[in-house]
Amino acid sequence: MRAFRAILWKEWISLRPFALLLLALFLFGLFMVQATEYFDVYPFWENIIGNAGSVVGMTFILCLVVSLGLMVREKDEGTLLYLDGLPISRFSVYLAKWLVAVALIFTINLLWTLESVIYDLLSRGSTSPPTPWRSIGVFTLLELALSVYFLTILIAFSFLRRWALIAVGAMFWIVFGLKSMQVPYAGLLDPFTLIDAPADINERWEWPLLHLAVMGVTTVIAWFTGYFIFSIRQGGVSAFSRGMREAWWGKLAGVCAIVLVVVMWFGILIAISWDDGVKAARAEAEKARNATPPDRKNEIVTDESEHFRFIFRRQATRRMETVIAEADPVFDTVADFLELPDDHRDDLVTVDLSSPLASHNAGQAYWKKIRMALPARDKKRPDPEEREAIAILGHEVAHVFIDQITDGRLEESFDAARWFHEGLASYVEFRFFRDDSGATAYRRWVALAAKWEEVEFSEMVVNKAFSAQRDPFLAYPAGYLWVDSLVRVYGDDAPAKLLRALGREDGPRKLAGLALWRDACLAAGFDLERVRSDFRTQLTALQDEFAETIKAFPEITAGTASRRGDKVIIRPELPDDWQAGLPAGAEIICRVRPRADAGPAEWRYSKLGEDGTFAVPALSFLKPGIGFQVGWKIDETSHPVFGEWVNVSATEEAE
Amino acid sequence: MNRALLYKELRQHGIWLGLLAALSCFVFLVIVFATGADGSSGGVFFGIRQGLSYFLTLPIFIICHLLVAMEFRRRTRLFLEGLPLPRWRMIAIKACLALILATIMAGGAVFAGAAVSGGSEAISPKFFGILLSCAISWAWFLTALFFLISFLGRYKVVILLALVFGLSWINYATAVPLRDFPPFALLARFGFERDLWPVAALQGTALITVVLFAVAFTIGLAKEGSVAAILGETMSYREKMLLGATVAILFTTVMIWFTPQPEPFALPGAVEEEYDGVHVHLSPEDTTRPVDDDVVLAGYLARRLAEKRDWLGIPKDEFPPVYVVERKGLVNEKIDWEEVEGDRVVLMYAGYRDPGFTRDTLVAFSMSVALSVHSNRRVDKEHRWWIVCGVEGLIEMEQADETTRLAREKSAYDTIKEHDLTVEKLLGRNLYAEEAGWREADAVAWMAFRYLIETVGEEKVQALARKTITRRVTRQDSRPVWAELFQPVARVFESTTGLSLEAFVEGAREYILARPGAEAPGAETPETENKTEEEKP
Repeated sequence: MRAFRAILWKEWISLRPFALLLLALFLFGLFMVQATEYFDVYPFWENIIGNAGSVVGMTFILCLVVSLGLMVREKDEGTLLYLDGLPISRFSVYLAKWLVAVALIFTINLLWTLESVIYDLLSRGSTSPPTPWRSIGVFTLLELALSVYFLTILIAFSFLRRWALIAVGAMFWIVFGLKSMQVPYAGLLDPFTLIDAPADINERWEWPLLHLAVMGVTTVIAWFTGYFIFSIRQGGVSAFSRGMREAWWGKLAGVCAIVLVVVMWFGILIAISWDDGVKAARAEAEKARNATPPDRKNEIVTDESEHFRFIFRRQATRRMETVIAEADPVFDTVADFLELPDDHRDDLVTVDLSSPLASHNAGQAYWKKIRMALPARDKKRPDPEEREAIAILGHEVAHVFIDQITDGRLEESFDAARWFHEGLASYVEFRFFRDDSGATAYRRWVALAAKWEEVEFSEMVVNKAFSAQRDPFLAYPAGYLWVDSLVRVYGDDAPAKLLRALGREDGPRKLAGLALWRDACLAAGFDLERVRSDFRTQLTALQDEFAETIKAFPEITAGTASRRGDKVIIRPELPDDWQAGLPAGAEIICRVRPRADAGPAEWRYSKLGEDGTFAVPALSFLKPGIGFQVGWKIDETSHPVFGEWVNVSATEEAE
Repeated sequence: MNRALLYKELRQHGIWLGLLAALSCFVFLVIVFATGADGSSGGVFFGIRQGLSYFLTLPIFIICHLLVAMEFRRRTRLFLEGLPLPRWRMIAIKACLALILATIMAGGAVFAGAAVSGGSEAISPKFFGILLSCAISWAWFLTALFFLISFLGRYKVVILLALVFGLSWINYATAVPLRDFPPFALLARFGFERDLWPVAALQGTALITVVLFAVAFTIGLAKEGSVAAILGETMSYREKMLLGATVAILFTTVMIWFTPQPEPFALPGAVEEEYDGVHVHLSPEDTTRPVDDDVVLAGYLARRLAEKRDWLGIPKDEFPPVYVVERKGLVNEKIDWEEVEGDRVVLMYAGYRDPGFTRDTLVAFSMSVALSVHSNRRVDKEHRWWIVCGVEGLIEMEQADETTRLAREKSAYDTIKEHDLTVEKLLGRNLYAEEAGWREADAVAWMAFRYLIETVGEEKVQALARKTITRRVTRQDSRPVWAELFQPVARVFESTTGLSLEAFVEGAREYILARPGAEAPGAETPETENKTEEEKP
């Protein structure tokens, strides 16, 4: 025991520079808070648990710094032979090093937690919820679990020396890839999501037992693997490792390993896009292969109009003739409306109709290039004039011109400008290239959303927060209506003026939120408040106009969730007589997300079951905290209108 | 001799260099196929752009590391020094080899992209030329950068980290548009711009590349290469820690003191009135009607605010301009406000032409928001906010008629009867207001301040207000927090008024209970949620 204490002390001496660095970091953190925050307005829940990602990232970096040299340095510097001469086993040495490293990382995390708890206590007001001591405890212990996991894994990898980081990177990409492919249980391999707090401070933070168990097993395996490698005596292994470092076969093996990693990574990348892209590409390739030389219908051909260069399959030639004939007037209409400068009108816009598009995506615009698909033919509603394709082209051309006129400035402030980009493109589409039904559907959509108080301009200009709380696709109709208000207040040339103001050379860059629109409106000579006022007036008027239609659709803002077998069951709190006034063709649907920041690819949709519940596969929702959103399809063809996200904890339920 | 040097490099690093070049071409080929099939990206050249931005840095860094850094670290340089050839030629061969490999990788990527996307991209000679020149210029820039960094030996990692974090910070935290400057401008529209040559970006990148190579050669040749040799020595653990901490601290210090320029706020077309340094702007919703009433109201607001500003002892030049936007939907004297990020202005929304709207309510609310803006939201803390509400009440009721005063007295009386008033409730105003209603809590605050004036005199109340709610705060840091911790409200209250908070609360309570007030005849009971917690500053 005494020898073990001695080796602990030796390790402490050895890691003292690192401990001092940690102390310096802690003190620096203290200084940072003093220099940049009111520390009495610094609640623990929002600032620490709400930023768990940064906490985990920092823990990983610290573990990386301490672990990569912790064991191997003894071998590399030859001091391991000295340790072998002491009356202690390699196991004791390994354990002592590991314990000291864990203690150091945990201590710094504990210090940061304590600091934040003090700030939290100073921040308390009469309406503050009770201090979430249990959650703070869970958070601290999960941090400890993470430190242990990271340290143990990284120590095991550290024996790979210069390849260690590549191996860690490979692991990261593999887990990332598996998660992206939504492989069942892949989320449990990701330590960065271990600290996943409930959405609300008052909710009980359940232990992520399954996640902890998987990480625990991995840690134990890694610990003994590391110990095994550490305990191998010098000699043959050294010669092998020297060979790996210096001989040609070692280098070749290293390169092969890199190649393997890269191939795996890109394999994953391709697999991610399998559904949308590769399937389509393969189908196209299959078609092309089967095509006999005489028909050549899958051959890619190009054609040009005055303003466009079209790339399409030969089989679509007849349909494309109509589109191409209409394309230049589309260009001129949009260019005139948005007052595209003459020097931009000479450039050709490339329209690629031959490449695959993501599912449910009508088109995409990138600078001077558009990717779109010819809409599928509908026998019930023939479209000989290709109005649908023309409308999509008009929408995408508007996107192209918005970027041209603003010189790409809106890309810089995408979070603040998404609604406007989509709103203006939709406005152009509906005003010039569609009949009233499209605009009416959008107006009805936004009327129902406004009735539920989902539409607020100050929220629209912060897309990330808006999308986390509401339906991200609401940006389309809400943006459309705002642009309509802009035109109502300042006339037809208002969008063009606003675009020029956004793209002015001497204008400020990367503005966010309301600041971008205040600045642009001022530069254009507009009063933003006047447009906002008209926007509100229109919202009110639309609610009156569609009152009869929308009154039957209540917003669902509460409900519960539970796990039953391989399903997560959502029970929304529906009004008693919710079915009474529903028009024919109306439908209720639900979508569920695993986290607040999960993208649409991670959402799962469900229709209402006979028992009045929604069910989605439990495999996609391994953590207790989930969110659901209930929406209504007003009729068979309309886009569903969703209310706000409801965050709940899924409880276990007997099957 | 050149051939011999080249042969030596190939002999020494041949496997690595060949494999790296081949591997990079392979990766680009995979990128080309993957992005060609991916329906959610911008096409093949979009994928190549991502590859050039993020992936190409890795092989070029390794190539430069092998060619330069390893030579100095392993001291094989000493062997080369013994050969009868100038040192610059040795470095030049390395640079040329690195440039050739970079050209193969970047050019190969563009050729692969062009070959694969021939069907879905219309590749004209001009477009191809733009792609090729941008890709190769970018690759040469990376080569020059890493070639120089490889000469920096022990400081290499630190400089790399500083570069990565510095550029990331500039990109995400500042208003500097990095993508507009060379060499980043080369890739900004890569694959999407087919008509315009990025002349300025190409010229700028070429210049940067030449400068980087010149610096690299200078370091490599200085003092017969001994500078590079010294730099090539490995750092000790302690040195690494110290340097790492220094860079982190320097970097963060710059971040702390960097404050983006605020954009000036204005309401075009708003009525503006100024009185003694107070600027009030009123923006009517209906621009077609005459603005005479708005002018009168703005003038009144400016005069009253100037008067109260002086009473509170706020210097003229520090009082924020007030902007009021008419919002017709707001009824029952409801007033909204909005924070203007980066600008110290008071922005409020009110239905100020509503028949039931009293202009003194607007004056009082404007002063509350102005105090919040002036103190950078420090007075919003509830242990001080009750004082703001008391002052707000005094301003609002100063010129009110008897009926309104009696109604407000009744509101305070009823509130005390139902919810009582204690020191805890006074300092925990948010909860009190939540339970009793904001309007009711305001009524109690006003009555309590009336009592205070009658008990200790206006001068002492004025001194209390000046000491507790008028401190100007310009940036968010801990200084005002420490000041408030060392001067708690209870202590300042007692030292200024001569009353303890307990005595004050008890006295105010009795004062209110002694004045039951009277319901305003025919008056509607206002909504208690008139000013919600979020709506109040």
